Amino acid sequence: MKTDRIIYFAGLALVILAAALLSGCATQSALQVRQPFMPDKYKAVRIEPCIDRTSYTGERDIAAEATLTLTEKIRQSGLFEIRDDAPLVLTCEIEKFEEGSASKRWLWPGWGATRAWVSVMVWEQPGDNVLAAMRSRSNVESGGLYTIGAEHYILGTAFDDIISQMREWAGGKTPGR
Amino acid sequence: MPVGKLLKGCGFAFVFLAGALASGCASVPDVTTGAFTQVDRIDTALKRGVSTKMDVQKVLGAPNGFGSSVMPGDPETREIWFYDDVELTDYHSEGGGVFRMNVRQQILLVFFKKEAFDGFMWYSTKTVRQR
Repeated sequence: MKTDRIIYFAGLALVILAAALLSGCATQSALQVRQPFMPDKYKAVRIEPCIDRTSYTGERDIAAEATLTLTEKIRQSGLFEIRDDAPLVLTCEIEKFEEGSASKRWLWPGWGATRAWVSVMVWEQPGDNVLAAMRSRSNVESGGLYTIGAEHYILGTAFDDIISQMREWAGGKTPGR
Repeated sequence: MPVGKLLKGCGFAFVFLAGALASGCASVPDVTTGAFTQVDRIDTALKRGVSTKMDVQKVLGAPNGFGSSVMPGDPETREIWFYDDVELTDYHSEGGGVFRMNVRQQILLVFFKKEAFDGFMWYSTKTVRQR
């Protein structure tokens, strides 16, 4: 009976440990609002090509991927219409991108982390007026083999968070709050 | 003795994990606010009174903060963009629970007058960087 208990608690401990190690993606957000959102005025946006500020040397064109991902996320969100002559302009940057490795982080949490750090600024044209700035940092630092492919969805995760921040701004978040 | 073997295996796994987590042999962890803002390009890429905010964003990226200030002798308000970068470059244990850390920090302020780039100032501890 005592052995059964030990096995039970050992099993429970392993499950808790596994759950802790498998909980993969974490995202940090920072929203700075400089002007309140004006729903009657801000209906359409133009999206500038994303700038790659990373030291990524892989084969992927992450600037192009990021631009495409942001465009898709904006379109799906229904927040804005996308038009070339829109008075609102979105500029975007990839500040950090690491593909990482699922097998490495499975062996050692933190090793082989997949990261995508992006920022988006919302401008009103003409006049170069910055309305809001959003930053999102998505990391998959631990997790098992199920995190294979994180390097492909991590940009989408980061831009999902940017869209959430845009919704917060559009929902009435005002400067200084 | 399958139960005994199982317990032995579990025990070994825990000892291995604890040893791995407790070992102090890790290299410098990646603790940084991100890629440092490239201040060396400001002089050549931006022109005072000409470059726009969007030009500044293209060269330096999105700022970490926004503000404004009135300079002594000039009543006109200037908008300020604030950039701050910090990175842990080295750390080691000195024993007794004391750790010594070296940190690289860079602060950059960019000034705008009437929506145009009007100057900048920056400070960096780069000279003591050991990597």
